[in-house]
Amino acid sequence: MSEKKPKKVLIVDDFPAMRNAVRELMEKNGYEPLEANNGLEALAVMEKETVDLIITDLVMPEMDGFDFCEKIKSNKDYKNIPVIVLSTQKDVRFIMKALKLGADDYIVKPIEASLLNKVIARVF
Amino acid sequence: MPTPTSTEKTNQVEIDRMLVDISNLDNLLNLTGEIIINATNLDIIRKNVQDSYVSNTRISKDCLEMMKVASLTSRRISQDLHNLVMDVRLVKIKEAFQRFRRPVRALTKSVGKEIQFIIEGEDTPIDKTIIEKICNPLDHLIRNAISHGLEDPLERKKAGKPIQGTLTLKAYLKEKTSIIEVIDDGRGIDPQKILNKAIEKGIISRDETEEISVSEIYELLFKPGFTTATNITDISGRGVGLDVVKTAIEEMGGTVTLESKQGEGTIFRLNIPQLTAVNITDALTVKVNGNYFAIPIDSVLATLEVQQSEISTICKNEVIQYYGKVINIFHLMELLEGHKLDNLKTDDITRIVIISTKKGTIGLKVDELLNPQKFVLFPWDELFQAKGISGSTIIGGNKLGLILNPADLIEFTISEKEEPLSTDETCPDQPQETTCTQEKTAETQIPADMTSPKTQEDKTASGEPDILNKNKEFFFEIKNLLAEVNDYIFKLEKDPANGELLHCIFRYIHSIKGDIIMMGLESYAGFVHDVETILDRIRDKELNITEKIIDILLDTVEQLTGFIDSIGKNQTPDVIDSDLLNRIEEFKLAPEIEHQLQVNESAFIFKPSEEFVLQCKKRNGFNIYQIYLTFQPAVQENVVVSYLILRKLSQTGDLIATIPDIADLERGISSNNLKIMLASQNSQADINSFIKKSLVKHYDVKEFEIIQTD
Repeated sequence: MSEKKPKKVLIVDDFPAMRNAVRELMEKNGYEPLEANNGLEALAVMEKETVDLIITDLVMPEMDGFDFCEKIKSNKDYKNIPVIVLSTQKDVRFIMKALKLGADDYIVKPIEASLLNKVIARVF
Repeated sequence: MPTPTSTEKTNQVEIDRMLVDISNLDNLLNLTGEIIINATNLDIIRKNVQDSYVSNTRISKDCLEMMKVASLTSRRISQDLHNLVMDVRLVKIKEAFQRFRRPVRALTKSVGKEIQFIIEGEDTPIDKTIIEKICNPLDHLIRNAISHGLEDPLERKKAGKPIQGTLTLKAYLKEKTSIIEVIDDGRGIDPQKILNKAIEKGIISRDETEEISVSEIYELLFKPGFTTATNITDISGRGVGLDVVKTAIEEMGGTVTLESKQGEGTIFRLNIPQLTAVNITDALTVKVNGNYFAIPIDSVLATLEVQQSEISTICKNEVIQYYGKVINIFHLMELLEGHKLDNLKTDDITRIVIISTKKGTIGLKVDELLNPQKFVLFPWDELFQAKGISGSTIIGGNKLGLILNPADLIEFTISEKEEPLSTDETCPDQPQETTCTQEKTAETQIPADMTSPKTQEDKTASGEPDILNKNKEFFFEIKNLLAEVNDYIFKLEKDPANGELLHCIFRYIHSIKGDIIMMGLESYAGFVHDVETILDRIRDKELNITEKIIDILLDTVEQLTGFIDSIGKNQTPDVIDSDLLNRIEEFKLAPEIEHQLQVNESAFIFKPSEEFVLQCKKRNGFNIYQIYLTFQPAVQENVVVSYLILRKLSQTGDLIATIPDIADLERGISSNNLKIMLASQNSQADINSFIKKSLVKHYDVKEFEIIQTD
């Protein structure tokens, strides 16, 4: 991984306030944030930009986090991009579904900086 | 002019449509836009609150601020909406008046008269629905005026009047009443001719005509029987369908009056009260047994205070005479309760409210009569619909009052009266007719052949789903219990070790089961019983409270809530969700697996099937390792960490078996311990360093042990 350019993180959430919160944290970590409202928008962003990390919500309109995760992990160009799920859902059924679809990690909201950093460190 | 009675009657279909100004529609659209935006904000708030709830943190100040704005906005929008809707309903009467111009012209020509049609006060605002409703009556009155009220030119000339007659349609507001007048300067109405006709028609007896006043004579015009006159012109051409006009106006709570001077003209005046708000109603307040009731004033005929001696009893029914009519009286409380009550307050003087609707007239005995006042009606939602009650209101600023539905109450007495009477042998078949009176008792008499099939029909129609009415107490108890038990389940999720909570939940579920059985719905009680069994097993420590169990409990409550809602709506309840049933079944019979997951090492005895071991040994060069692993309970869910560790480990070899395995994780069974059987070509040292490197730091693995087996 080249160290010159900042890594790009794609934040996918339909809730602007949550995107803002994640963006702030990621900017502190030296990431360049990109944002999308849902899975579809995220895929559109990814066509234009090279993304190094994805942080996604699960429950979103148009294309939810499950579908999005599946799309990423079944695409040979994208499947190595780590996907961190960030969701309010702490139900095991949600967690297991996301993980089995290939999500690299799963954080239950609200987001905590230390945990996010830990998770980011291990997904790479 | 044709006799319009029959045809016109069929035209009296209620018009439910409105013509609305486009600008008003635009405003409405803007308001709905605002509602949508507000709804979005509410969504955000909901998500925020949900997050706070899930993470057990405080709701943020921002969120509170948003809530405040959202609630203020919603209040403002609803106020605007209300005003706008009331505005939309208020339109200028012009619209209605103008549509008469053409027919008046055409009709004038066809009858060979010369008439000047004048419209006055067409800017008077009037409720839209009223406009639609007055068109037919006005049409009637105008046609009558043209055909019969106004003379032909020759006659007018003879009478020394201008050849051209004048027909005026006039509207104005007087206090809260819209007044519409149809004025002609025609020949006027001859009271004597009306009287003669009425006697001829048998509407009135000759004796009665002795001291009749002119206005009483005019009243006769509005009698239903009057309209069938064959030769209308005999009585100055009036009387065509006037009863229809009267009924239509009275339906709107209005009145029709008539002024006429022979040779000079006639004025028909419609007085229509303005609607202020749809849900504000005038009502008479009464007190019975300490309860307040409001009776809509439209249906109150009179209030009386009568001596006990004035009440007579006919076939167990109390009756009084009111202006020559025999009226059945009932105690309001008994009527609502549906059966006789003892210890009701008795007085020398009985206070009675006479209520009257199309269905009939009855008297209600009450304890106290209070002043009529305006009430804001809070309609009840379907679930709480009680017969005889249409909603609730606040009386005197702080007391809850129920608003009675007079039509229902009267219907009550009809069906109630029929049943006991038919079985009561001491009563003749038609008591009212034979014993009561020779007078007109039309309102109180319902021919047996009409009502009895109806009551029967009612019974069969509501036969099976009428579980609600029979089981009101159980129904409400279950509703209450469900609300509480839901709360307890959420608390238990937070505090699974709390035996008291568990005990409470068990008791509640048990009571609900009992109530369902009492309602005669055993088929729904079965699965509740199974849930009880699961709770019992948890109490006996055979099962641990896992997320999955909490899910079952919550889903059960949801299922029961749906079931109760259906009953409330008198619908057949939905079938119980089969997925839920399966899950319940699974836990009902589940082995005491939870003990295997106790932190106790001895419980971790791992017994891979021989098949597996054989299979693994077949693989050349593969070592079989047993790995015990404990990780620090981190902020993150155990299930996530367990899964990710397993996934990581699978990079070093094949996972033969794990405890917990994926299926366990999916069922919510997880702890901070993992036991793994791994087949790998790597050496024990390699695996050791792999775990140290990639698991200990990143996944908070505290302790681990690798044992190579053969």
